[in-house]
Amino acid sequence: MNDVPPQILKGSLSIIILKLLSENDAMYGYEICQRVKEITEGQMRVTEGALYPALHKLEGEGLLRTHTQLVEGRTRKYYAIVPDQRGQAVSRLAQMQVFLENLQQVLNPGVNVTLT
Amino acid sequence: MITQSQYFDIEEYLQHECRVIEPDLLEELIDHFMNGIETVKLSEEDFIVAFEVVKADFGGEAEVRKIQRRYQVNALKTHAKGVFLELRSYFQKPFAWVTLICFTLVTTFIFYYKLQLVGWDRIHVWLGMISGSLFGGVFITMVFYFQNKVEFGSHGFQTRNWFTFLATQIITLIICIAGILAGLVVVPIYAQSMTAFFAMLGGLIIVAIFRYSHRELYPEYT
Repeated sequence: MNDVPPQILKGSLSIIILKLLSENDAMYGYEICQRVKEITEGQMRVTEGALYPALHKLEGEGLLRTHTQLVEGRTRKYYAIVPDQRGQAVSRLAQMQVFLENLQQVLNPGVNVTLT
Repeated sequence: MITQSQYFDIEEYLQHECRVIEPDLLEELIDHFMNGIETVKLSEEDFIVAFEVVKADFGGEAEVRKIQRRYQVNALKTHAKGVFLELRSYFQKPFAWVTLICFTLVTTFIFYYKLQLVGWDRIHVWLGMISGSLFGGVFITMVFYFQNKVEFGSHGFQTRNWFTFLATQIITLIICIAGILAGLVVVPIYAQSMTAFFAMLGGLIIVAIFRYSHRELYPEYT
């Protein structure tokens, strides 16, 4: 089940990736898909068609770096945040946090909501 | 566990039906498919069924092709960005300014000479352009080789002193003159100016390309 409209997911996919990678040293594409499904208990599904271009874009922007590892005889590509770009990643996460808090204010005026 | 023949089935599907040609992307997608199939196979023993489930889950061939297109566009953008950064750093160097000044002075002189003495409509002009560019290219490459030796030989790029800086400027001037000489040597007198012009242009391009060839391109992306 995927209740999140694609256009909303598309805009926040890079944030999801950065958040997961900031909590893990390195992750591969399938692992990210599964992790999102697990965290959201299946409510949100990241499609491969959106995930891989987003990963490649972040890699192209210099925020992520990759390394490959031989796992059970096959090559696996891991993504990790570039160490000196961690600040940038944190900043993007913080921006999204502020945006979501503002959105909450608009959706629920008068209710003081702080996202953690 | 995926067997080797099943691995080849996945690879063939991605290469032939989805037309994935990018090696890195292919490896990544094969791994993704194998993970997906292994997960589905936990509840469904048949590989073919599991494969079909993962294919459908992925969105079919069209979706894979779309990923590849976006991968290529992104790679192109990254590459273009790297080239732009290299060019920008190149054109910020004093070397580039000296080269530009030499180039402008010499070509202005040549065109003036050409306009005053020779007409523009001779076949030798075109022969001269081609032969002079080729000869000039080889000649200038050799000069550049020595330039690299002088500039980076014992000092290193980061710590170069005024001597190496001066040497660079002098050799740059020699490169410009070499372009002209190449044109003068190869072709008849009435073709020399255009030849020299293109030889120098070719030389400058070669210098621009090879000047930073000792450095790792786009280190931030590797």
